[in-house]
Amino acid sequence: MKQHHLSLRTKDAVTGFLFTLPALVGLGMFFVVPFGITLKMSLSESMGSSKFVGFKNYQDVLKSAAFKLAAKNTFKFFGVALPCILILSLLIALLLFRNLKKYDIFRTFFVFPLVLPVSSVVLFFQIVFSDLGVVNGVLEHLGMHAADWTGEQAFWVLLILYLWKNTGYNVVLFLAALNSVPPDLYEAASLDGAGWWKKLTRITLPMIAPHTRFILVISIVNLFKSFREAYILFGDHPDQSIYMIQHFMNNNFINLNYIRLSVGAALVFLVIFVLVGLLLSLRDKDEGGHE
Amino acid sequence: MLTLGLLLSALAGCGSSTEMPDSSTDGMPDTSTPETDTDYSGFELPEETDTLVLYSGNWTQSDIYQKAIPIFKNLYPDVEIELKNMGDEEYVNTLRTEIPAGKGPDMVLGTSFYDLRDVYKTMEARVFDDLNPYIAADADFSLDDYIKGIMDAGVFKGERLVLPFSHRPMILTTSAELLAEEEITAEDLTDFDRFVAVCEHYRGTHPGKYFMDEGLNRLPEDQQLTLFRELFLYSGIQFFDYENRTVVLNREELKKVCDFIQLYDPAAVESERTAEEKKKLKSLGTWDLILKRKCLFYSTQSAGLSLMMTRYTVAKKGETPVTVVMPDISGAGCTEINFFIAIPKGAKNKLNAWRFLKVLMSDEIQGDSEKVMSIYSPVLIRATKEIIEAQGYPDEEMDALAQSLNAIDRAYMFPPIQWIYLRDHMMPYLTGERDFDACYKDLSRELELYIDE
Repeated sequence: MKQHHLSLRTKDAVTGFLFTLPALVGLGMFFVVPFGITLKMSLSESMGSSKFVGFKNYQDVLKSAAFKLAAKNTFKFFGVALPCILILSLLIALLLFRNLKKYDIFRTFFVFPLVLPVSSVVLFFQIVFSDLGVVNGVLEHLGMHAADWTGEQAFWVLLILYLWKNTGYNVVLFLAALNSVPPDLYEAASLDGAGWWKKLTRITLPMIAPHTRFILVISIVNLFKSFREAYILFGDHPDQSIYMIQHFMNNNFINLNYIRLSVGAALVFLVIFVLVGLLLSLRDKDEGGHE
Repeated sequence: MLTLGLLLSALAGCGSSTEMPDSSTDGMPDTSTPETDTDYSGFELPEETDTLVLYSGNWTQSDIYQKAIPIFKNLYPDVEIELKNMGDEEYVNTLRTEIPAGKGPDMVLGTSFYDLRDVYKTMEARVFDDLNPYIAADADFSLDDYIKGIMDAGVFKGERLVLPFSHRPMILTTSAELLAEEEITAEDLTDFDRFVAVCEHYRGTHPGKYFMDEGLNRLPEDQQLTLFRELFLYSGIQFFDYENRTVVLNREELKKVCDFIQLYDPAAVESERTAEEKKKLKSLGTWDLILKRKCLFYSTQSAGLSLMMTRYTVAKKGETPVTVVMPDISGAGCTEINFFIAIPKGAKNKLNAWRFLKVLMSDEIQGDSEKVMSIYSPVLIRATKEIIEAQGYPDEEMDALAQSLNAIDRAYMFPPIQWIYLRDHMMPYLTGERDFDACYKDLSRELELYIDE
């Protein structure tokens, strides 16, 4: 009986492996191997050379003022944009959740910015935020000074663009999360005299925590993607307030300096790896606590 | 986060260079730093192959290749040339991805302002072969035949990684009679400070005239920015020491150049001109500007037809044409390299690439700028005289003219971003909106970031 049980498990394992094999091959070909080459390049003296120089390239890049500025700006953008989008999208989702009948219409409405072509979005923002654009027009009408939205205020333009583009998607995800919370928990809480704040903090937020972690990861990915709009809007050498890691990497790519590009990529991977690792360990801790 | 911090500290601390046996380059170009030994006696030209792969991404490259390919085929009929024509964006992206991967064309005919945005930074990436060994091994090619000041622009840390193919100097034409009227001597045109003083005096005494004219008074305001760019560039002002990754911009020099550019002042000149005058100017041929005393210098960047027509027009009216290269801030002649040649390290047919390079650098191509339109001015010394003579304008001063046109001491491949920084940060000073030091501080900050990237 025991042998039969083991061979069934083995069969299942083999079947499972075979089903995942195409994905694993793809992962290997398009991620593992290129990443391995990137790592090798980052530790070599120059492209194609087998001469190992230890972490000299990393030293050079980490000492570089350009990289330090890029890292600082990237962390700053993450630090501001992530809480903003999470709070904003959660608030909107909570507001919408009260009016479920209108939910379907808004779901379409909020996802719309995501499907718009990037060039159209960028063109729109260029018109709105140009020196003679709508925003400066309104500011001047109100008796205020026009701002340099492509210069010192570029950070806020990028933030607004990121929030405008991605909030809707997070709202839809949060709505799905809110839907998963059993309504009888709220009923029981109401019977116990709990107000909206207690319901939010003691029921809603803890119950949607796993979904929030997922939304956080998606938001981080989308934050990196916002480089595309930044690049089209502000070029490859934007104002220093929004000069980010992707600009550093992209400019080295343009100059064919794949060594510095590889080092940048490896460092970005390291940071994301640590962040996601932290999130996963929090999840495991959470699930362990629940058990 | 603690783990991350510890790891980053470890990375910052580790810098040992472990020597390992040099194995194969894994199909990718080997760009390791060569030893400083400059003895190339051990170098042999690459082995024979029967193919040459070239990429063309725009009409100017195509034009040059179309002229050079028949000459090459005549010399090497057994070599098959694969010329891949593509759109400009596709060409740029292909270069950026294929060359570092050890693929792509066997020879690159590049520009400093489009396909490789900053040639010096690309040289730092060491994706091109050092051409010094090729030159040393090939008795048919001598650097002495070319303008040294221009050829040296392709050297990076002792390696000759690109070879300038053609250049664009700022050539000023006037007449000896006009200079005499304005009490300007020949020496005034060879020193930057004296040249600026001459222009300043001219502007002061002729408020409705430009000291230098390409016919820009007839073109939209945006194109006047082009002249500002040229004046910055040809002032010879240095921004970077790429080899040491430092900014070498000198505040006093920049101020001097900015103040010189302010002399151009299109707004002031145009305000002095009546509508009728402007209309009359539109009907004038550009070469008549000197004869009609509408400006002090006519400027051109071509040593070809344009220059010769100006001189011809001046001489036809009985005046004596004078041609000089605008002096830069160090008193030297400065030029911009508009095309260069390089052989990628990963090229499969290097010998044929080297042979094709020699064709491009030969008299047939360099001396034929009227047919090869992309060559503003050749880098081959004797080709300048060939171009002048080809205009069918015999002149006993041809040698002196050719010598003055070849009087280039320094050449530069001006990355577009430098002009963007200059324009964005120094234009407020040029237009009087902002203080010089505030502009200079912002510019320096941008340049520091750029060179450090």
